[in-house]
Amino acid sequence: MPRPVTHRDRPLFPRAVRLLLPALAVVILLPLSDVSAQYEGRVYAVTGARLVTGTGPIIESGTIVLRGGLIEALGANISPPADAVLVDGEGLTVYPGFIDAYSQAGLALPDRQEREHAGNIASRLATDHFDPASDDLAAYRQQGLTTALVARSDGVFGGQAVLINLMGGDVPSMTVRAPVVQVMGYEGQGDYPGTLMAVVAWQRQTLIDASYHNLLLTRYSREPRSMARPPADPDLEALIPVAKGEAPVLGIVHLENDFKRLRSLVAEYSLSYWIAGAEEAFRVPDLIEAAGVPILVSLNFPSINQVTGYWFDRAYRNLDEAETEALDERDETAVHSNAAVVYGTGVPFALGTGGMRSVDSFLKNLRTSVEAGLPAGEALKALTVNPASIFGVSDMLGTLEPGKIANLTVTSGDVFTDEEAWIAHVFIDGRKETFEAPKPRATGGGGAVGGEWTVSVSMMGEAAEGDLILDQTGDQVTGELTIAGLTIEFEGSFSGGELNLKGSIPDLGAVTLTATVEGDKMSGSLGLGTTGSAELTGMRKPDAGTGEGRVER
Amino acid sequence: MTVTRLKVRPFSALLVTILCLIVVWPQTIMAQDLFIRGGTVLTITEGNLTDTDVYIKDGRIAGIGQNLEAPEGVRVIDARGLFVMPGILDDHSHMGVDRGINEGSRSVVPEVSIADVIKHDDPAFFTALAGGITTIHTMHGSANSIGGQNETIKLKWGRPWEELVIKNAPGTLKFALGENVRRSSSDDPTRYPRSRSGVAEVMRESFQLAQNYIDDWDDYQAEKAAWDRANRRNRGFAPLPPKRDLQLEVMAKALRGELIIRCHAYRADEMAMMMEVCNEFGVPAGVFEHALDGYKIAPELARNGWATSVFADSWGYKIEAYEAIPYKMQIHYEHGVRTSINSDSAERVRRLFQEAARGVKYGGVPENECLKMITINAALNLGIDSWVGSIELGKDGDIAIFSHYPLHTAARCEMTIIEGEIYFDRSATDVAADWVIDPDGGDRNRP
Repeated sequence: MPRPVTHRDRPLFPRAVRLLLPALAVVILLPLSDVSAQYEGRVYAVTGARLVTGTGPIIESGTIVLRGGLIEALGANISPPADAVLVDGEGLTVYPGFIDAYSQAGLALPDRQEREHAGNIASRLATDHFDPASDDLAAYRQQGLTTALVARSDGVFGGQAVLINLMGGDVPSMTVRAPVVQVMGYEGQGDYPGTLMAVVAWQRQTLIDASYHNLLLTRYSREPRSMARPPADPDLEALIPVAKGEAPVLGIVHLENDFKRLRSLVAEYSLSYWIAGAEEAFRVPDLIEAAGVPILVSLNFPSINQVTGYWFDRAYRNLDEAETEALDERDETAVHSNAAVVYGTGVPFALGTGGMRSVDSFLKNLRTSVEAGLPAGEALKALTVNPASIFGVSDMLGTLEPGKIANLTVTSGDVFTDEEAWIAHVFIDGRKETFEAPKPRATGGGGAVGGEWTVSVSMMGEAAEGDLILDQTGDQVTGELTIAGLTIEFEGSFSGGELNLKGSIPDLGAVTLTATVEGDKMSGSLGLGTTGSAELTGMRKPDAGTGEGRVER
Repeated sequence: MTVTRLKVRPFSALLVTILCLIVVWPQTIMAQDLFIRGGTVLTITEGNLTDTDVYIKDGRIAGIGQNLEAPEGVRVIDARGLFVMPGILDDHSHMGVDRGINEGSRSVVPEVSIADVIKHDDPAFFTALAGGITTIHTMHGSANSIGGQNETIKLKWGRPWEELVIKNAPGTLKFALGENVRRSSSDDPTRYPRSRSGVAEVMRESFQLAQNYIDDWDDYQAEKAAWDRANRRNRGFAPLPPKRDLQLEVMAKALRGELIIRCHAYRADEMAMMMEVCNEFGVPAGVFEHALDGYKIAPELARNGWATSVFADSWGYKIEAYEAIPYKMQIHYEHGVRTSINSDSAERVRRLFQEAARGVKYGGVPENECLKMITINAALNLGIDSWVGSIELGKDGDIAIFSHYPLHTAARCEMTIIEGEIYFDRSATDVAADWVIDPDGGDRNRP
């Protein structure tokens, strides 16, 4: 009986090519002086590790083998193959690689003035502006994140989000799935639509335009002689499945009222949708439950005075310190409980970094979310199986199973509850990156950087003096630099005498402040993106405290 | 004096309530019962009533009279010695708008709507409540010849966005004339129009485009109907519909008189132009905002049926404001031009009752007429006078209670009530020290 022909039976390459393949391989490999380097690290076995497979019981001590970018085998009684590089997993925990379900990782957008008008760039991929070599990505990996749904948040119909692995040489080979979902945000575009209200009007009109474009294209394809040829418009065309409700749109929302704006729009135009960002989900759990759509929750914790309703119990009240503290604590707790509240609604959800000023606090915020009520097991799912399922890549990612992409997050302990635990390794497409245990925290005295500093910045012979105020909690630092009429907010870390801060200037982009601190002096540089970098030196102000007593107003 | 006895007929009362909730009063979700005892009630439309009780049931005024019996369990406010007036309306405000009030990128943007961007936790709302304000008309700015749609909301501080919106209030659309529209003070030299005559041209063109849009759709409907009727075999291709255009849809509504035009205007000649353009297109008269030179053309305003919403006494702050006078309330009143007094400000809003008192000072407008300018006239300007703006049976239980007659220099708002719910209570508000009258610095920080 003849076997049915499947795609597997079809030769991958035509016969001629097949004959030439060995020769081609030689030609390709020839330029590599050390052929073994190509394969070095491509077969790994992590031995004696705790394997959290995501499919069944945890394997308390087992081995997982990675080959050719895929998981080859795992289990308690697996012997590492002879050709594998052995990684001692004693004391380590192996998780399926964490997925950053809503992210701006690696995005390298041109400055606002140079950028395209992002009112409707529905046909573009987020990775059109992606820097695979970005140092940025290392920071994500150091948080255990191996894959990210990269989405532009600067547009209205801001293009297609792409699921991409966070290590590799180029976008095509790093891409896991593209496109995944059309993004829709609420950012003004400088000219029209500039304000939020115009953005909403723009969303409506653009959906109408897409539907109308669909009408014209459909009609023209059936009855070309009945009408003038519709103009080619790839962006409107890309939006048609969204306008028809056949493909979801990923609404990026932050505030309570953003959810309501999104809900009105999707109801009016019968859209299918997912939600991303969702920092104030805790204020609208009923709405989220009723919507019942996937929600990609950012672990960006807004400061409480940015949260809707901050003033309801504070405006014009004569609150004493204890009352203020109680209110602040109530609101902090609410912000931290966001993911737990979303979990409680029962909708499919995943966790991400989108909108975080510094991804360095991702694991910390994850632990805070768990402390605030998100079960650790659910947090793990929200970083693995949930996003894999939402993005339709359950066959490729999300669990430790043979044949799946070799993305592993290997930790020194339970990163969901133990603040001492760190990311020991990540494997991405079977490539390994190893991180050192964090250095002991700087403590007090000469190790503290918090407080007020006078800094001077010089670049190309020009110098300016400014004030830098730093707040330090453990090794986390936030700061504010006031210089040349600008106030730049920073966030980052201080450890081992090294200050590493990131911030941004509107319309100019990312700014970094790195400095070595010795006692009351610092020296380093201020990185101004493509503009270059400036030399920075600082002196601690004589009477300034350590920053602990600084009042945030 | 009207004395209403409260009769309880459970079944019909329930039925009426349900019907009202469903049909007419979808906004009274948080409706409350409240009994305000023994105040001097300034009804605005039916005189001042001494020692009078006001009973609010399910958020609406259900009883006005002397010696009414407070139903058991209803919260009673002792207003003896106090003045009970309808909640004050500020019909020109920009408070509580999220991320921009001017879509200044283009000169004609009626498709944008404040309704989409209410910021219900603006602390200025609380400031306004402390001045007896219960309803504001929060508007698109005046940077555009034709700006966006405005929104009328109640200051239900602490309640979610959707509960603030007066859902059955008529739509209003912002227009503007003069310096702001021409962008004379802006650094954008490119946007048309740059002259006052250009503004007139933009108005005409916009109405004409709206008319064309209406015509296009009418033509299409007719062609489509004919096509539907025609023999299937030889009727040819179906007509293509025009594309929906949200901007033109709003302009078409304005053209058909389905939106109230609220037109920022300073100079008399521009107001005359606007009235002429509206007359040409058969657009109903609206409201001129500020109308600084309105006093010069009061008879023309009255004849054309335009109302105004003014500052009590601001002038001279820019060229086109040089000829404004504080006697405009009196002149408008005498010519029968309906006038409200607005704040246009998150600061002035808390003392709109003092602004109203200026009508008495400048030209001797009757006291109750001055109070109308911050209550029923504003409600009429917004088309919501069936629900708010006076203390009448069946209207919303929106009340401001004052320590003195509201136009008295010592008057201050003690309590502000919306639909029977107390949103500001001075005695229960532990006002922060910097917000209390400062003997040296005046009262500028007073809420």
